[in-house]
Amino acid sequence: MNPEPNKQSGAARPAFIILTIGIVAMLLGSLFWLYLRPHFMAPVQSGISSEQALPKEIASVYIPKGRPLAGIRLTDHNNQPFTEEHFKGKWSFLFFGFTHCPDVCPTTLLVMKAVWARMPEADKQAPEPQLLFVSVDPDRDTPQILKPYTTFYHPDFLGVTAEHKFLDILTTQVGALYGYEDGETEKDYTVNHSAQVILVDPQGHFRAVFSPPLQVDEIVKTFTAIREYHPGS
Amino acid sequence: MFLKKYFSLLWVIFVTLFATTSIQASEPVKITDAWIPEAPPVVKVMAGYLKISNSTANDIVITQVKSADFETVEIHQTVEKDGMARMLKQDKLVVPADSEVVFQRGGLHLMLINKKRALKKGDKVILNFSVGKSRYRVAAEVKEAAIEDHSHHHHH
Repeated sequence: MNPEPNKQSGAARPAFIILTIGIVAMLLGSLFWLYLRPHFMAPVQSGISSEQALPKEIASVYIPKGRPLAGIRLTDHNNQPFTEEHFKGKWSFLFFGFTHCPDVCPTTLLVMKAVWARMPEADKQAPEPQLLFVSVDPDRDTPQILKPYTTFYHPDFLGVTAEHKFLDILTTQVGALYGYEDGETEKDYTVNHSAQVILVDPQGHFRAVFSPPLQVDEIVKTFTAIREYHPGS
Repeated sequence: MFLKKYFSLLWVIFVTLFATTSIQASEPVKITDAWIPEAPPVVKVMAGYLKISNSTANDIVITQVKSADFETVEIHQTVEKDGMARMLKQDKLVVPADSEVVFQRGGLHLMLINKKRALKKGDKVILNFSVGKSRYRVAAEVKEAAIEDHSHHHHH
């Protein structure tokens, strides 16, 4: 009897189709749930715009918006002016300190010296970054003292300083702090200062902060990641 | 003759061993690993790092440190406060009973103020510590200052 099997297959076909549709829908649903949902949901949940998430190795230090540095009027240890134009075209690391500082400043400069030793390995991209040691003690740290001090740690490091009103223009823009504290005599005052290392990008924008305790390996890896990620570097 | 020599040798060994242990036992306070990082010649203020161990049952107090090579020596503690690194002068330093205090980068350090002579790698600076009525004389070596890069990623 022919109609019997036909009828059977006729009855089986809708069930098969419904089952297939069901399975496909479930697959698509879970696919959406697993892969697509974060793209729709994440910005809504965190309240951030559609901006791409930062690579995790730079997320804690990188400043996505950056901040253009302006009005920079410093004098370098060769008595040459240093303005925001001198940030352009290369990455700059800035550290604030003073030469009468026996512990924190030499330690940070030695960390940066070790970072510099790793730099050609980490990335041979030209131009090489520059390191600025910004003295927040201009009364004692003249260019004559700054030059032998800074170059003792690395011949390429550059000491800079300025009158207080110009120092403050820089420190306020990068969130660095400094202050003076009396010592035994008038000449023996000590300087309290931020111990972070500031990173300025080749466009002259304040771009990242490395906070103490500073680790050589961490700075090299993070900087390399920033350089890879940062547009136009 | 042979026996006499043998006994005198034994005596020497015995005395040496006894003397060594008695010296150790009679030095309940030890100041070791003293060093000074080499600094740029223009610098007048340097740091000193060391270790003080007190194996006595009583706390000891370091009241003064002096050196003929510096005008003043102070004990300072680097602390981070309000986002700034600052140095807090310690008028005295207590080393608790049966413990040790380590002076190291970013923490406790000697602040050696106004050097009186040029100091370079390999030079020795004598530091005199006053602990109550006792005096401790320690030679600190000026060493090249370097931060070890502990990573093992030296690929070329």
